[in-house]
Amino acid sequence: MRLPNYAYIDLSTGTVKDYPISKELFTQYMGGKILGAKLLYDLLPAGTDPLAPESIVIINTGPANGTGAPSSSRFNMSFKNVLTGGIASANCGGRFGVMMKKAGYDGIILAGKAPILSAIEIVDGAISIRDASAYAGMDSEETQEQWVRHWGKLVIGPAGENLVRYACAVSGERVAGRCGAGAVLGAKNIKAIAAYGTQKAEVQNREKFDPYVKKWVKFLKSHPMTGKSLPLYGTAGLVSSANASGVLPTRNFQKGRFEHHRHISGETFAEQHLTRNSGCVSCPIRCERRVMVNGKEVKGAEFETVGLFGSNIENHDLAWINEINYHADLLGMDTISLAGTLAFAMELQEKGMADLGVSFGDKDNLLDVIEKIARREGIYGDLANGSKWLAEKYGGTEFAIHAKGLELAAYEPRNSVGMGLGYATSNRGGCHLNGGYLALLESIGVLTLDKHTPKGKPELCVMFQNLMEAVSAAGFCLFTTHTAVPAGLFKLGSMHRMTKFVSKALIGSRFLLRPLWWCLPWLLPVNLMHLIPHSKAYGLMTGQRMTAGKFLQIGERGFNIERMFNLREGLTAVDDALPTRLTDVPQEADVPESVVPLAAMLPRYYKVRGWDKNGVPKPRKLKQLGVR
Amino acid sequence: MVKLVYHGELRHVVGVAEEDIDADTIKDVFRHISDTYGKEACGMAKSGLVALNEKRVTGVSVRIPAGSVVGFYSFCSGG
Repeated sequence: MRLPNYAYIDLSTGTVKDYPISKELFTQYMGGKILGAKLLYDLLPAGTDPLAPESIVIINTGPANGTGAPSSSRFNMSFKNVLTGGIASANCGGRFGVMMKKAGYDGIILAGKAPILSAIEIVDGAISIRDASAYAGMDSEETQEQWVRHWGKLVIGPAGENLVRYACAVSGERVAGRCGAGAVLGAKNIKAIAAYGTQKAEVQNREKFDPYVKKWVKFLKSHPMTGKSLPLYGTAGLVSSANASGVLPTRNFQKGRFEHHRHISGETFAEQHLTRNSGCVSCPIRCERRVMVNGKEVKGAEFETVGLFGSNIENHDLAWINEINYHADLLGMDTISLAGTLAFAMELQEKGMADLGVSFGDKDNLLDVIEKIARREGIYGDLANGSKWLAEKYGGTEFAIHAKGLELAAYEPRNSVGMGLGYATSNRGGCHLNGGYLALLESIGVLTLDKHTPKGKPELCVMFQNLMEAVSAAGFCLFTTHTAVPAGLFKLGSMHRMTKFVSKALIGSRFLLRPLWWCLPWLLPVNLMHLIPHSKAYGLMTGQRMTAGKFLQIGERGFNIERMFNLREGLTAVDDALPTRLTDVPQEADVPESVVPLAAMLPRYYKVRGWDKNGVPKPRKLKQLGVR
Repeated sequence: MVKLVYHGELRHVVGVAEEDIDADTIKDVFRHISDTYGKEACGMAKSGLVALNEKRVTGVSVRIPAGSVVGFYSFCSGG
């Protein structure tokens, strides 16, 4: 079995050494965000400021990366979350991960702080650090242009240099968006990391792996979601269904429907703005939108950006959304937290609590405003700190839309209460993906699980949180999990009695799902191509005996180590919360159940997870998972 | 009268963006699509998301008030 190759880079001294990953660590924690969380738990002293030189940043891949498996070019950044103080992981497509692996490294661990603005170069097994002070103030595009095109690059823009708390890191036109990934690099004086290599990713059983990959790609291309909707409409295709289901955040999550939604829909996007679709390395889904901005073809906005820079600030100019999306990427800022923070500031202005120069429906000054945020100019420096910080200064906690400090993604959870539970319990804060993405089952997808009932939601939330944890850590894009909803149900449609039966059966499965986690991995000693195709591919590429049960258990282990990290850093059950707008105020006045019944779901969620009533993993659970 | 608004691929299959028809229920709407544009179009309409006055409907027997708008969309996902 090939073990991952990690380097430990002390930026203060400029020294590089190998960091061995043991067989036990690899088999227990796989790679990507799970191994990243474990390494961070072991290496980072409790209570360290995420922006201090003593802090640690891990940039790593999963075993699938670069093997040719579908949708497997993604890499991960793990670090202490700048917005929440807990665990952070930020995942990114593009070229960098593949090139870092080709250069001989599965991961790098950054410690210390470079004395001057610097760049790290990783070329065929050699790592060097060089002066990058000439790149100070450059945007993400210009910075990447300092290296030849076919290198993998990971850079920060001015926002990262200025420690904007939600600054992102940019690779090509993709971003490691959330939690302040750009700020932690900026705090280490790292402007860029560039990689180039010629090595091939090792696959232990290539003979069986290649035909399996071929079969899997065919399956992805034949599925209505990954083979049709995502290539045709991209994630913005969600706008219409999110609006019809009442989960399209509007006016800082005051409502879940937007009267001008058609102007920002995926259909309008495809008809009026799309030049072509594109995709990451080895991805058959090709969800990326290409659009023209100021005469240049660039990556278009995704659903989160469309929702949060569209309906959530009462704007229906899709061309402008693509433009601000491009500028946010140039400056190096996470569009979810940026737009969420702006919407909160707009409501503060509306309520007369603070005037930070922005207001609902007035987008004209926002391109200028985000420039000033990135450079922390004047009052805009406040906006660079995120919603939680703003609420602590100006008030408005009840409508500051974040969980643990991380702004929520573009799903209004009062009409998708399982999504609300996911946001509240997500280890990195208000994230739909770390939260299990139940919106797909409750409101925006072909299945129609009762979107208001708390029944079954804790069990399903745990199931999907663990699944996504494992899929991400293995190195796959999470879109490959969307085929878990059988293609046949799309053909039948959401009104068919079979689809309705499956929806009810999923809620009913709650009685089976809780014991499941105590019986893994022996309860699922098989691989399931149509539900979790990743586990077999993982086994073939690493040479490990892998089953769906083992795979899910690694996901559960990952979620628990992240939770342990958060507890150690002072986050507790009190932080498994949402703003009271979402838990106490019905979204629709005539539908009193359109609130997130968090208090009803959390105790059950903790029980299903094997945690005590305070949300602390019980010793028995940690022993079962081998978490030490 | 009820206004039907087609989006995305279905719009290309039926060849119109919108039309007005007489219908009392969602079932009547599907029957109209099947009779006018064929079973393939009806299958596509059923397999997507149907919204009555911008709100999702999940049953064919849902009654449609006069003057309503019924929209047809594709399912998608995000991340």
